[in-house]
Amino acid sequence: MSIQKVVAVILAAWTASCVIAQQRGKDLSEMSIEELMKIEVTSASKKTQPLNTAPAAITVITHDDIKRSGARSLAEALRLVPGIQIARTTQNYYAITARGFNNANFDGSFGNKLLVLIDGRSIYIPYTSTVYWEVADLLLEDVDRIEVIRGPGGSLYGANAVNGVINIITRSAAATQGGLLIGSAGTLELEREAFRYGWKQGDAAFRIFGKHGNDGDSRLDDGSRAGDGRNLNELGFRSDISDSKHGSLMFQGNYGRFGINESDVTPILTPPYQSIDAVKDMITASSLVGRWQLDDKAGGQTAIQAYYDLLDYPYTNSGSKTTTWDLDFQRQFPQSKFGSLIVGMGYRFVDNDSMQEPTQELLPPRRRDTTFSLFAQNQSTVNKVDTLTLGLKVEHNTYTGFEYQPSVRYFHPVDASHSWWGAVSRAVRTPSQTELNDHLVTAVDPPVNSGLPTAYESIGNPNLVSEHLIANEIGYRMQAGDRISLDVTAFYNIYTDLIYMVQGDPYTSIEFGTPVTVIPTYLRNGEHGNVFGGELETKLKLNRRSRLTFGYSYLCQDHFSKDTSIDSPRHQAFLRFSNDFHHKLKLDAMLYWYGDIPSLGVTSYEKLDVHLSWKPDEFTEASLGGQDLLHRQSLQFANSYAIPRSIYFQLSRRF
Amino acid sequence: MKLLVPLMFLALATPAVHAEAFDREHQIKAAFIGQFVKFIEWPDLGPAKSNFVIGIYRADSFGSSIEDALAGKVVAGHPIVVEHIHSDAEIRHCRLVVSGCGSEERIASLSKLGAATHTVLVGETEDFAKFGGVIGLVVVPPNVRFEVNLVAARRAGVAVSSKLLSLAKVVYKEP
Repeated sequence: MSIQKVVAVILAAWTASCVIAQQRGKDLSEMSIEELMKIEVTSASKKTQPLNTAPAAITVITHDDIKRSGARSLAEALRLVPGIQIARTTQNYYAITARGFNNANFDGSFGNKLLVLIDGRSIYIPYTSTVYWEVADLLLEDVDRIEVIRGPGGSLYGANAVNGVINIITRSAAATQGGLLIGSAGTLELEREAFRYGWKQGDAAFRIFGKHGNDGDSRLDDGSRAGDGRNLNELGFRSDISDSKHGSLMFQGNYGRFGINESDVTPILTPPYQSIDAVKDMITASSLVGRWQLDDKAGGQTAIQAYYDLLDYPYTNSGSKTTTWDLDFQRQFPQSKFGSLIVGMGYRFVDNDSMQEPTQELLPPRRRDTTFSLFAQNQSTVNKVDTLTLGLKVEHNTYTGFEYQPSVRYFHPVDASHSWWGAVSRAVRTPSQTELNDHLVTAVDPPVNSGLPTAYESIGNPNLVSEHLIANEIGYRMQAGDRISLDVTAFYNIYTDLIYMVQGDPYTSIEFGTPVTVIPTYLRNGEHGNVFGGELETKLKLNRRSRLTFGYSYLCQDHFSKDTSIDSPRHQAFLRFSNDFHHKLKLDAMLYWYGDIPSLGVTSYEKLDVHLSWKPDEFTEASLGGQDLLHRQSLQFANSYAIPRSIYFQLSRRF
Repeated sequence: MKLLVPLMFLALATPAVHAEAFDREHQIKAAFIGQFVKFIEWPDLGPAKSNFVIGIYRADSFGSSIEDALAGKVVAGHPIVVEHIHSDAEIRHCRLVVSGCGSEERIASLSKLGAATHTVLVGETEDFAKFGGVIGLVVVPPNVRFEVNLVAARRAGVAVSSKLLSLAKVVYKEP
């Protein structure tokens, strides 16, 4: 009870000390008219609405935030969002989640309850229930904003938007005209070279980009190199064609090839019972997205989107080739006396071909799964000023059949500067193909006294059903002038049918052609428990030149029926200081603090990133960045390599 | 904990005092106004370094967003000064006035005044440009757009750049 009192007191203190909601930092006065004409916020309700009136815990990282933070990847940029648990486990891999469950996958992948989309294309991998951040790469200069919703988005986005939804939205081709050349050199990110060129033909705007890079290694405990560097080569294009009569049409394509070095440890059933090889995984990620959107005069909107995505990921122990086809239709009706109604339907086809390994098999190795979905959401005004948003998504998938994900959201503006919102919603995570069908040897012990070797095996369960969440959320925003803003959220999540591991009795069997003693681990639905916590963000404009941002999040996940480990820090905080010495010289410093995770043996650590940008003229920018500056190297998660202190220097030139 | 959740939801029931539109829309509109200043040709801005005065005339919904976006910036060497004005007489010393007025008669009378004092009128009410304002900001969900009245611009003694005209949602050319 005492911890709950503490939370209540903290919440009360937040509320009492509050001053403002969201003064979104991007300097609008630097935008061109064309850019201004495009500003909107879409994620929380799948239609545009001002950020301050979104009945959800939403944070937007703008283009300017990303640039100024000096973040070198999409994943690093997410550190600026309170309540996102993020740990860089090696040079290439990240464990990222919201509101807990970062280490939840039995196959060692991370963050199975967070949905991530790039321009409406899902990069959540249903095969292993995770996001491969190491191949989620773009030209950061093309990213317009990252909209992060903490909490469920199932009533709009469907399954697996359980603990959060991240929408990465790139700039339109019209906003990236002309040429851009970028080159950088650094100690961990060894080099990057990139180009972009945008041009116009009549009503159509185009851009192409290319990027090449090489990364160094993370470190072992003794400071030596872990041998996990990577290289990457990417190419992409985007075109936007727009006229008011026929609507707007967008096409984009991306192709990336990533070479990731690994020290590959594979258990084998014959002596020496384990093979360690230095390998290079060559991963190909490509996609093609088309979207057509027409606004009618009455205020309605019709949109159709289709995409194709191919991910060829020959990673040891869970290698696969996944092809996705997706078609979405959405119609927003003009405002009526019943409110503003949006309906949509979707179809997704996923063809997953998994690689068979010496000590892993999936049966069947190839699956073709389809998902049909329908959703409706209505937003109506009640009591003159409040808004009530009711949403429901129904979908049918090959794994678990029908799934229902409803939500009720309520927004209440107290006055021009204070508002409350609350929400109750249900979300599901569908079991991954590995959880359903995997047969994997995770480790082998040599025989004792001339007996049989012992194989530890994870055995999938084809009868698993979806994990369920009922989330209760409440939020408060305050805004008094433009000096200070405050955004506070609290949640109480009730999980049922969580998938957990249970060890079975040993038995003797012939596995992969060799007689062994098997110690099996089975998967079951049946874990249930509650997670509660809160997030706070406050922004303070010190003067015309300086800003401070403070973020804090609290997470309590120790009320579970089984011994599911606590896998995220209880406390996290960051402080960001931004200063414009001059309109040509800008400094940002970010101090992050992540609490310990005793159950995983992870100690707390702090991280200082600094970024200095100098623009001698309007076409040239030189920037100097440092990351993880406080320590020679730091461990961020369990079973991880250490991330060394690093610096980089970058030059970019527009023409 | 059992108590905490319902208590927090109870807090939702706080009675509404009054609700105003939140600020983002007006921050964007203020940024638009900053761009308009750039794309209008001002024939006579007075002695070098004299102030370029933007008047805010009963346009409370903008709050401080215009000051935040524009105060201290410069138009052709003339520093921008933002003032809140309270009478028709004060329009005289403003180069640009952001007006909150909405009725056709009122906009037309301000327009006449603006023509006499060479002041550009910008507003955000429905058909502001049609009724005689030089530029009307309009929300076309999900974006902010604008309409231009070329006749009113000519009367106010300014030229509107072709770029601005090409981006305008509507351009009124006939009186």
